[in-house]
Amino acid sequence: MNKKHIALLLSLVLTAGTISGCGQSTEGAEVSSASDTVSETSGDLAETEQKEEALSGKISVASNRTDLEERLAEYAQEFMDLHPGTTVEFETIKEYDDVIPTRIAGGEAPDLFYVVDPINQDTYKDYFLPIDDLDFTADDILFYENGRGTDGNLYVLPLTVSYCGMVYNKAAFAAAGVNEIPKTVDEFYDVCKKLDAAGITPVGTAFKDIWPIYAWCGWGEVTLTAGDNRGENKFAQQDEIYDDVMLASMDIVRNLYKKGWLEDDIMSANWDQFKLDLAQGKTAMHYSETWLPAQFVELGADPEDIGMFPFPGAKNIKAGAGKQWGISKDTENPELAKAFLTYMLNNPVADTDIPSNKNIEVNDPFVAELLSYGIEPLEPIVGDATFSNIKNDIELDGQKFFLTYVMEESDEKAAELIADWNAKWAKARANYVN
Amino acid sequence: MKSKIKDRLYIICFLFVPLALLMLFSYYPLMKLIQLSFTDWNGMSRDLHYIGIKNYRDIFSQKELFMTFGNNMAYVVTALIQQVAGLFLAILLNSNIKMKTTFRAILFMPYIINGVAVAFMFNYMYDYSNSPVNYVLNLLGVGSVHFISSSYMTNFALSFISFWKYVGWTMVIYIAALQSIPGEVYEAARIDGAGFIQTVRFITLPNIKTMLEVSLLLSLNGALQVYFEPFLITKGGPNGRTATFISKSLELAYSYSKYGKAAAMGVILLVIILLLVAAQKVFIKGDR
Repeated sequence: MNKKHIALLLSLVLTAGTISGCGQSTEGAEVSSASDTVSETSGDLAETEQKEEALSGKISVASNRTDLEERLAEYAQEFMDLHPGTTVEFETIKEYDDVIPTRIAGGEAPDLFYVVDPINQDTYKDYFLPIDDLDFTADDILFYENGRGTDGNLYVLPLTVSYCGMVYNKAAFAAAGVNEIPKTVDEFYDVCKKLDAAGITPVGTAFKDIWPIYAWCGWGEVTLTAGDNRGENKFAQQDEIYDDVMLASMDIVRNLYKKGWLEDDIMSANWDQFKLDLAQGKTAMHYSETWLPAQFVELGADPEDIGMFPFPGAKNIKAGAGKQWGISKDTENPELAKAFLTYMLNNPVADTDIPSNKNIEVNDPFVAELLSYGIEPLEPIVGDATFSNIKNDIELDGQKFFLTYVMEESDEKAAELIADWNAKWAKARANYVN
Repeated sequence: MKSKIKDRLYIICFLFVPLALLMLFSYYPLMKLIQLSFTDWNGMSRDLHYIGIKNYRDIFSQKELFMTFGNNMAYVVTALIQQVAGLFLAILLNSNIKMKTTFRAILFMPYIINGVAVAFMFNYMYDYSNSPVNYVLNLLGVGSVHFISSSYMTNFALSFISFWKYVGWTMVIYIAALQSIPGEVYEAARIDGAGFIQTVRFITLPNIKTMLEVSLLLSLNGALQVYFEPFLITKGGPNGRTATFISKSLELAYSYSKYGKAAAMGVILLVIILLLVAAQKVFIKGDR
């Protein structure tokens, strides 16, 4: 009987514990919602009483730069010193692209964050606040017009820009007796041959990690560099997602692979090893952007040894916007968020960033060399989201497919693969374009 | 009457906690999965847009999705080999050899290591130019091996990771089964002059039959649901030659934001596994 009582007591405690667990969280929610209403009313008061005078409140800013955590905290502090009474907190998130969509779906978006999949021009308005009233125009910020949603409002702006080109190790070039950078694709093959003869891997791909080869097979990159559309994405109007311009770029890598001018085994060539190899001159070239060279210097390469030149035979240098930042639609402190976004646009976070703000002087040596060859930089014109919608519909991952395409031994089969995707594209396109 | 109510109260109170947890973490997500499989949710929007059975129709019209089961077969084969190896190790370590607890601990260790860490470790082992395995092979005068290539064998290279990780676990299941067999039976057999093979065949195997079935089912289940090796090491490539059914559904969700369709794939796999369990149930019943 006694034991039975103890058992009953224990089971009651367990049950109560479980229920009280739930109870506590609702209590917590009530408290926080109560404080929300308090802060809302105080926010209203602040707005009516001292509209322009002082900013107040708290915002959280989500960044993916886990490597800059301390610098970001300092950076926020600098802003808070200028605007006493405000609190700006940086949150650094490693798996940004996975975490942010989950947070948004749960109604807990950070106040400031950048565009991640699957947000696009069609859906900017669902997640971001219009920021047309910031003190900037297209004359101040590169890619300003590309931040507009399908409804015509401005929602996002990039903080940084980058330029696409070949990163190369000058010491490796010298060791192979190459004194001039290649200006045409044929010259490029000659250079590769010389490098290969000198025992240097001509081109590094880091293919195993897949994303590092984006510049060879990205529609934006390739059409700007090699095409005649001057940055306009016209794929939604044609029946081929892989047209001759795209194939020309992709076939260069196919040729390099066939000739053995890439890493020994591209299926296991990874990014970290590749970076070391290029920094040490064991690998000579890589097609990427201006954000990359600084990383080789960090790995111990002499800054004098690393340079960039335009893609051989390029008609234009592709200028690209960095992450595109916007303000959450649900922010409680829109004024503070706007003030901080303005501050970020005027004050680059890291020295190595190339700011999108045209009023800030750029003295990056790699950018300087890349632009010194006289090829005009051009920015892509972002239209509507049709292109990415069709691409997602047919489940085409351009980078993964590129790996398959490069590794396919038979030319006929490779052509079949291309024809397959083009057929799928043409079929799906009909549902999106009238 | 009073004590009956009391008993009821006990039962309810004790069952409440596990049932609540089970509902919250197992059945609620399952219901949500089924619900999502009828929508075109993109992983982010707050309201669901129902599209009927379109996701299921799409999946059944895409043959390449079911082709991935071909890659899963490599894992199934490895799972079968794993049973034999696990049983062999169990029999070995259930006999009177020295330091058997140490060996058991060593063999069980990989199971404790986090799966992602294991994948990264093998990522390094399977590297072509920096692999310690290839280094040793070169020292022995054998050429380097392309562990990750575009051939089907890559699936076996990947499934070996699961083998390495789970063989110790299989062994532990079998050791537990073996220890339930009374020692007298073996003694009697030995007196009758039975050899090793004969004792295994006529005493050990019949006695652990139920465990064999359970372990086999769990391994097959694992082989069908495998995803982290291809997801982390090859990303399903090249050309989907190492993609499994689940890695494909993860890709649908994370690369193309087709969460609804990915959920539908999850439901389909659930049905397939349920059928497998049912088949095995029928098979066992028929045997008895």
